[in-house]
Amino acid sequence: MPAAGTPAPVPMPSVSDMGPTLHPGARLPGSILALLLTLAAGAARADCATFEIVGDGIPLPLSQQTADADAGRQAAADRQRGDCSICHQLPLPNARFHGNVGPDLSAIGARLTPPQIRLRVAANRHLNPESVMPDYGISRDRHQVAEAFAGQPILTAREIEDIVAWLASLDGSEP
Amino acid sequence: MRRWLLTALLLGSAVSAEHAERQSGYALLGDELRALQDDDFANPGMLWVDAGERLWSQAAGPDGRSCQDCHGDPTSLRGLANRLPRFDADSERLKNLDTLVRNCREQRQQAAALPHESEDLLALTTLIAHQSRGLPLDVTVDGAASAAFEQGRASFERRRGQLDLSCADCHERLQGARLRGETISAGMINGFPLYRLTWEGLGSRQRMIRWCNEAVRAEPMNPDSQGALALELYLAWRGRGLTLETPAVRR
Repeated sequence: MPAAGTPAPVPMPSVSDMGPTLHPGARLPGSILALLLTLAAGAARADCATFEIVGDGIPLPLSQQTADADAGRQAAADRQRGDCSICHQLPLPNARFHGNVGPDLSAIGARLTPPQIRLRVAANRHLNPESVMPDYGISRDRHQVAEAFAGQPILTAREIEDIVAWLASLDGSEP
Repeated sequence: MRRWLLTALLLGSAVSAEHAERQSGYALLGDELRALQDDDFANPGMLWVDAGERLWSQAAGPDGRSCQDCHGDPTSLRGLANRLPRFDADSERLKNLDTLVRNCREQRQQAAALPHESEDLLALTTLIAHQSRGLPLDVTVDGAASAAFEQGRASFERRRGQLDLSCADCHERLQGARLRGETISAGMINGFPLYRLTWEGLGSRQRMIRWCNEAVRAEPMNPDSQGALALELYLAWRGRGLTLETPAVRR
């Protein structure tokens, strides 16, 4: 499996590969879309990043730092950061208290490529605006944000890369 | 139908809000908490009802008037709380139970204000709402109230906070799904003021709205603002027909 964070070329799904399976309501472009999204609104923030959505993925890492799957596992478990298991089944402690709002991600690395996972973490509502899953990498166009969180996406670019690396490693073999 | 709802969601389809069920949070309680709510001698919220009864006849303000002096027995207010909030045509403002008690206190008794979520205000509002226990939620949302009602509906649907979630995202579209170990409620407000184990205490409808806003990292709403009261009106309408349970017990 390709390690996330490595700028090696990742196989991109063609339009026919994407098929109608995942997101029937999504508007997937037939040609490459150059959507530049500002990751963090505050220009002064160190983790401010832009990313390009191609097809149903984000091909390039959001952060230049080498992704760390162990750190990703911790950020995913941290209730103040990813808190992924509030909605998803994942190989994290206290699995019986995991939510069932979103799909089971125990083997997500076997189903999706790192670019696909990256888009679903950073900007899932690009695929399905109705989805309850927030865009963890976007802070624009938010309403009534508490002052302490204003202008910040839920996760930093580095945290997203770490989490993508961890999720990409999940093949269902972890308990 | 719940299963169908969830399946549709997992497929990423938009689910019509009309499918949400009107279900009191009581339905999600285990046997022990149901028993706690049902037994007036064990229900911790009844402590506030008792405190409210003591305050009811206590004189306050320069004229030394009590609630009892004007309203008589608290039972005279049966049928009030289940119809709140209501739109007051004179002031052209929405008023909920807190507004009415606080106004009485400051303007009629001319006594010291009762702060939101203070023990004395909760005691009086719990006592008054308790008089309507068993009566159906029945708020007026047409006529002069219609603009406020639409404002409340829009607020319910508007995504907010850093997590960018609306009330409807969770309490309508995901009702019945599990968030960590907790089943997502229908967001009904027929039990307030209620005793919440999470709070180890009693809280009003507006305290719950504040808690939800903070959970999605949104700026809390001023409980006196028309926006907050419009949302409360919409929530009460969503639960129309559910009977008042004050003081309810919740997790």
